[in-house]
Amino acid sequence: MFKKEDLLTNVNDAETIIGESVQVKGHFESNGNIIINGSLEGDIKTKGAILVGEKSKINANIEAEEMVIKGEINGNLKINGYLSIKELAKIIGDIECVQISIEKGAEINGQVTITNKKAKNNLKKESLKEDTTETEEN
Amino acid sequence: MNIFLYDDYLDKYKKKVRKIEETLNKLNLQGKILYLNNIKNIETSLQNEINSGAKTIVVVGNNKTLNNIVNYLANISEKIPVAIIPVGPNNSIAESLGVINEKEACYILSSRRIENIKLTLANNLMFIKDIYIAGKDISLNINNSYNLKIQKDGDCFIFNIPPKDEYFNNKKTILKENYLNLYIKIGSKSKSYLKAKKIEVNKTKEKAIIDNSIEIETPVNIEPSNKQIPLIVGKDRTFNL
Repeated sequence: MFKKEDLLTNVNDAETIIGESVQVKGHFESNGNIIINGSLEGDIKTKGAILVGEKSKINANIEAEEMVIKGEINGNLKINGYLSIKELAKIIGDIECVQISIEKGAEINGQVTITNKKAKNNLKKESLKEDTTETEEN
Repeated sequence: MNIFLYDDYLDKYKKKVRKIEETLNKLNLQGKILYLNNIKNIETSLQNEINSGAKTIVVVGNNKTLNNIVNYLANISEKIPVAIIPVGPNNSIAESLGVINEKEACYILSSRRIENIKLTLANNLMFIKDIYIAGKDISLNINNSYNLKIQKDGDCFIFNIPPKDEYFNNKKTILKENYLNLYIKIGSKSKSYLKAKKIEVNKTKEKAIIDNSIEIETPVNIEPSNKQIPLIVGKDRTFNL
């Protein structure tokens, strides 16, 4: 995963890069980080992070761990962690994420839901740990 | 015994060939020389040498010389290590294997560091390094899952062995994973990289070129093969296994 503020600025961190003037259509699935500077239609799913570049145009539903958006997206986003929406971003679609930052100038047309799944999961893990410790002590 | 396979064009490089032979003599790496221009059927000739106990096949030439025997070597039961002594241009395979020049190649042959390299299949041809397609509107189907279109004039490479590059140098497990590596370059700015299990190149105006030496018509189906050949490599090869 990337550091929050410089998510995917380094090409070496990305498993997949879709460059400018490259068009992808269909079901795109990956286990790693993705940088998109071209266009994409269909759906994207990754266990890593996605960076959508300024010139990219995406018509797709997206599921990822983390995401940075600088370009245009027409589709629903389901982000299991942090979502960063930069000033030139345009999003038409519903957003579900755990943490979000939106820069001044960004456009969003859709419903934004910020869930706290990760925090809940962490709480569960901690309480499980406590239970185990108690049992060991007993 | 070493079997040296000399390409036809080596006539133009007599001085270099003499130096190679001197170095090989110094290193006590003599063997039998087969001249490609004297051989009617290279596969039969090689099989005879293997049956007579050949321990190493040393290709003295370039990508094309090596490609003459790749499909044969991949399909025989005896796994004979193959080395390359690069002479002249078109030696990108040798470079990827960490064999930069003919003198160094002799020492690498002496060191005998062997790596089993999996080959990639393009239609019915196996190749070692890459397949290249140039042009506009190149359309690829990836993993039967999505289509990728190159909208401007570009260069499209599908690598079995990746080159020295800012992206590939950091992906050291790349050969282990049994994936193809797709690299697309459009102009100086746009670069795309993808991993894929299977790539189908649709019909294109230009032919596809295997290892910068064999032209094939498109469409072409590209996928990792289950065949491999033992290659003698240098320390500076562009991949890790």
